[in-house]
Amino acid sequence: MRYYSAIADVQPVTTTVVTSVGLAGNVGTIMAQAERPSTWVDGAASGFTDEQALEHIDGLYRTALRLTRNPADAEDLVQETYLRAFRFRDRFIADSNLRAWLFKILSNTAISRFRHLSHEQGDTSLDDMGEFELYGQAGGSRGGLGESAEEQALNQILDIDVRRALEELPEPFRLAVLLSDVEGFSYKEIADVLDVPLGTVMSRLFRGRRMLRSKLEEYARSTAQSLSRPADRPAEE
Amino acid sequence: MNCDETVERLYEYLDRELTLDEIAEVKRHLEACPPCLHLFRYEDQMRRLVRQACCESAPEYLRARILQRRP
Repeated sequence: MRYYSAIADVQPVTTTVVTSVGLAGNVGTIMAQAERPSTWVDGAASGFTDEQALEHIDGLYRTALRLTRNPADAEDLVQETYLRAFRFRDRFIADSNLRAWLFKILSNTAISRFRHLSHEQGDTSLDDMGEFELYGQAGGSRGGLGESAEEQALNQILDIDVRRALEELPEPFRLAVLLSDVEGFSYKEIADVLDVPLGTVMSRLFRGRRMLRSKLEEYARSTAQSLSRPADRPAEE
Repeated sequence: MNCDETVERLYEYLDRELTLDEIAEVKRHLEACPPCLHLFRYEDQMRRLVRQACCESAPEYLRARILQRRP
């Protein structure tokens, strides 16, 4: 809740009364408007406009698609994200990271909405491995990788297989990988979005990518096998 | 920088989380070490696959629906 607790302290800014307005007849109206919190005006003064928020809808939608695994739920999730963002508009600090803020709302909304639908384990046990231990394994896994045949096989993988492999990842890993690989957020931004320490971001990325890699290599192997088979007769046992 | 130290920085390198000095060090190792270079390229390719596979746009009606229901 770091992000929210930091912004919750910020009170709506009251605009100072402009005294230089020359039209005496309008001063009363202008003052009445000016004394309102600026966030009441039309949203623009609170830090973002509808249009600015909606610029990020494609990223939010494709992330929602991977989280919910179907378009109807993804649309609902994105809509709820935006309605919450508009409702809490005054908590957003002007000129801070709107995109990360929206993804944070998406993530929190997804967790509260879809947790009960999920058969996955909670994430308490996910971060029990230290990042150093994780990084230590990278060297060990190097040996089997990198033959150009494998690289070529990787190119045969269809987008739909990649999406399926992503959607099979346990949610905390899936979201970290999506935020980094697809949306291009920095580690610091992901830490803010997910409200976890930087080291946790790195270990989730590490483990998520490893899981993804082994799934994709599996697909690549089975694709390579089916491609090497003559098309007109079944594969030999 | 040796192989282990380089591989330790694989993701930070690909994720652009290293300083310029660190990037230069990793690059220097990769230029001299084909197996490490291979690993880095493989991981980079994996990431590109993921990015390419996830390029959907939100349907147009969703924007309209959100603006309609906004408070």
